[in-house]
Amino acid sequence: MLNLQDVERDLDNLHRTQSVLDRIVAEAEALGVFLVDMDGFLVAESGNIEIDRVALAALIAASFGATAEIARLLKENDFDRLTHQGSNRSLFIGKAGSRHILIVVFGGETNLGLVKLYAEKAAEHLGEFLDVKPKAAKQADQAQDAESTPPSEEGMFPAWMDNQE
Amino acid sequence: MATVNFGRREILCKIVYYGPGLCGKTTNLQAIHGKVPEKMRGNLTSVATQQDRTLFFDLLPLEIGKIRDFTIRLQLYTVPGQIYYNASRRIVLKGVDGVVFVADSQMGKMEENVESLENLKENLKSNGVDPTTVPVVLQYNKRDLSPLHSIDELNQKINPNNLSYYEAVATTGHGVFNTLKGITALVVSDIKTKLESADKDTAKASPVAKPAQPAPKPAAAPAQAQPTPQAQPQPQAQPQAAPVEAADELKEPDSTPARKGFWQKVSTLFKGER
Repeated sequence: MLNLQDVERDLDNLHRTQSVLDRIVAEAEALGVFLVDMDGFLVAESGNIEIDRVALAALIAASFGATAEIARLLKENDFDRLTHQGSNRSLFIGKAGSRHILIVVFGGETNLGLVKLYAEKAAEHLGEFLDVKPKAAKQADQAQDAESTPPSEEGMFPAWMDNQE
Repeated sequence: MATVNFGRREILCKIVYYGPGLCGKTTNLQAIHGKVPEKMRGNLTSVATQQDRTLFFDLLPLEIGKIRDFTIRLQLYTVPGQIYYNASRRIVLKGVDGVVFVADSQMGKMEENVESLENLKENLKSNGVDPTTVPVVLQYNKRDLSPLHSIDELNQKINPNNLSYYEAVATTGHGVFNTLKGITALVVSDIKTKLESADKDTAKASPVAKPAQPAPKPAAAPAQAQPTPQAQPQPQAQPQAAPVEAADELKEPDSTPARKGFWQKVSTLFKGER
C-alpha cells in the first residue's frame, strides 16, 4: 500500500538519481543517460538525445533479462555489465542494484574507458540507495510471510489444470 | 502493482497479450495502433523474425488519461507464441499488471489454447506471482473463420470460472477495443483501489495533510466516499453479460473532477471501436 513516507522517499531517490545521471552526462561526455527498471519502464533520464525512450527502456530490460537467462545456462551468477559498440554510437549497460538498469549512450569521440569508469561507480552508488525497500513493500513481505496457507487459485484457471499439480 | 513514478507523475501498467502461436496477438496490437489517435500512442516496436513471427515481443505504449494528476500509461506487450520461446515469454511477463489471453477459436486449436493457458500459469508462478492476483480477460479470436469451436465449448475448456471474455476478429479490429477496455477496467480499478486506500490511510494518520506545492503528493488528497467500481471478473450467470458490463464500467459517470477527466479520455481513446 502506498503511504506518504514512501512517496517522500521515492521523490528523494529521484532527486539523487537525477543528480547522478546529470553528472555522468557532464563528466563522461555521454549523449544520454537513462535509468530503467527491470520491468522495462523508464525511471529517470539526462542528456539531449533524440530517441524513442519507451522502446529503448523496454528493449534494454528485455535484453538484460535475456542475458541473465544466458548467464543461468552457463551457470554464471550474472552478467551485470554489457557494452554494445557501434561506429557512431555505443552503449554501456550496467545493473544498478537488484531492480534497476543504468544505460549510457555515448558517441564515437568518447572513450569507452572513461564511460565505464564513471558509469560503473554510478551504477554501484545508485544500487545502494535504490535497493532500500520502501516501508510499504516491507510490510507486504511481512504479511506474506505470516500467511501459512498457500495462495488459492480458485476463480482463475480450470480445475482440471489445478488437479495436475 | 503498476509502477508509480512520482517524479514524472505517471502510473505505468504492463499488459501482456498471451496465447498460442498465430492466434492473433500481434494483430491485436496492430489494430490498436492503427486506430488510436497518434498523440495518445507511441510507436509499435517489434522484435520479430525475418518471417514476421514474434521473436521476443511487440510493444505498443498508450496514454489513457489521468488519476489524481498522474498520467496513466499502458504498455501493451505480446509474447512469442511458439512453444520453444518460453524463456522469452517469462522475461516479458515480469512485472505484468494484466493479461489478455488470446485464444484461437478454430477447430483443432483447442489443445494449443489449453497448453498455452497452462504455460501462462506456470510462467507467472516461476516469476513469483500468484496467478490469482493478476487480472485476466479472454479473447476468442478469429470468429470469422470456419469451422469454429462454439463459445460454449471454449468457455467449458478454457474458461470454466467465467472470466470476462470477448469475441473478436483481430484482422478487422472487431472486438479488439472491447478486449482492451475490459482489461484496462480491471487494471485501473486495481490501481484506484490502492490509491484510495492510501488516501484513507493518510487522512487517518494526518487529518491536516494537504498536497504541498509543487511536490506531487497524490496520497494527501481527501479520501473518496464513493465505492470503487467493481471490475474484478465476477461469475456470470449469462456468459454474454461480461463484455457488456466491462464496457459500461468505462462509461460510468462520476462527480469527481479528476475521475471525470479520466473517464472522458478513456472514452475518446476507445472511439475507434466499431
